[in-house]
Amino acid sequence: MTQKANAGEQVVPFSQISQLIGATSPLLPGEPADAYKAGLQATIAELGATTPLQIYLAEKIFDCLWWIRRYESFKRASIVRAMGGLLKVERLETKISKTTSHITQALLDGNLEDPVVVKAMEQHNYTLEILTQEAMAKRREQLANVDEQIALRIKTLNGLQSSYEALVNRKIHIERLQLQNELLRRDLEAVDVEAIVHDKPTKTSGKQA
Amino acid sequence: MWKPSFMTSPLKRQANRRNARRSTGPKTPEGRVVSSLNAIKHRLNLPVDLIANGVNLKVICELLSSDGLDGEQSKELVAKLMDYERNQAHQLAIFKKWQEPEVELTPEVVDKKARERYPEIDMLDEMIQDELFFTGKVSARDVKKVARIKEAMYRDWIKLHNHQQRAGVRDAKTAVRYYKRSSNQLIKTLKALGNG
Repeated sequence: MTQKANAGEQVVPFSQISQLIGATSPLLPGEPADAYKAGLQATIAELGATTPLQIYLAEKIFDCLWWIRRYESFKRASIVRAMGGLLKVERLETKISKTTSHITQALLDGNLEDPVVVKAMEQHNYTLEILTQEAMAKRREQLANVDEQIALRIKTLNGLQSSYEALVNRKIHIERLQLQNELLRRDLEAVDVEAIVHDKPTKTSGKQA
Repeated sequence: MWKPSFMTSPLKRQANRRNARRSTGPKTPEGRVVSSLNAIKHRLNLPVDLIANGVNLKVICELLSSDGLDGEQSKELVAKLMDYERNQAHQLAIFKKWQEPEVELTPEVVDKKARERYPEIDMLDEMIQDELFFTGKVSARDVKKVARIKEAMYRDWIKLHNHQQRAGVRDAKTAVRYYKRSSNQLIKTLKALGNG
């Protein structure tokens, strides 16, 4: 219920960098803002992002996940719509009739036992498998496009994850180097450097020679 | 009694040609600016202009300094980030279009949409009705001619619709290519900064 109440709310990008470079809201109208925010917070916490760039990258990683989920639900809705189209009561209906919209809604809810759906399937001589296959065949091109997009998002997600790790490691490397430098400086300060001073030709030693 | 004529007279044809010769593109500087932008489709291939976009580089550089990036590195990274965000916004716009319900091309839909695009169809219908009203009859020849013109307009609209659909698919593919490029460049830059 809370998800529906917040659906369509415009979410301001979380990270400071996103806000400064003028990134747009990542949500589409009707998408649950609460779920997005909660997921983003969980990703940031899981990755342990602390610096602005790390938070930005965590946000982008979560965006990729959100896009993949979005494409998956679009694929499902597309197949269901095609199934609803195949189960049209009148083949030549120009507007979506109440029955067709009822069938589509029942299929979206996964309610396959719905008497209207069962009756329509019997009327058109379809089994669920054949209906699904025909719907997928009808939307083949669109589904292929969506699959391509999902593959691209997965690739981007992998790239962003590896660059996140590289950046975190870089910070650790820098900190480690700084600590080593500090340690060396301390060691040098602790060492008696008088002997080195004696090695240099001094005025007194020159006079002696 | 006035009777509508469907044939273009030679005089009218000459006048049409004279008028067409007069309009040879935009004349005013404003018009030329507008028409110079006609070829621009998405701007995704343009380099990111940080100054024109009003980016507060100083603040971003300060933020990125906590990650150990210097000014030049920050500037390079911000350009890549903005390119990525621009492509992301474009992808969102394309996805919004995908979600719009498909229009099935039934005769009623074609008629409605074609009438929206070509008001001449309504005018032709009105002419036939007027003729029927004033003379009480319409010649079969005129009815056939009107039907032929209307059919041509319907066919033209269907052609345009199919062309727009194909253009939409083509634009989406182009946008994917640009998104791929921007994400690859961003990842490359981030990795270089991480390993450097």
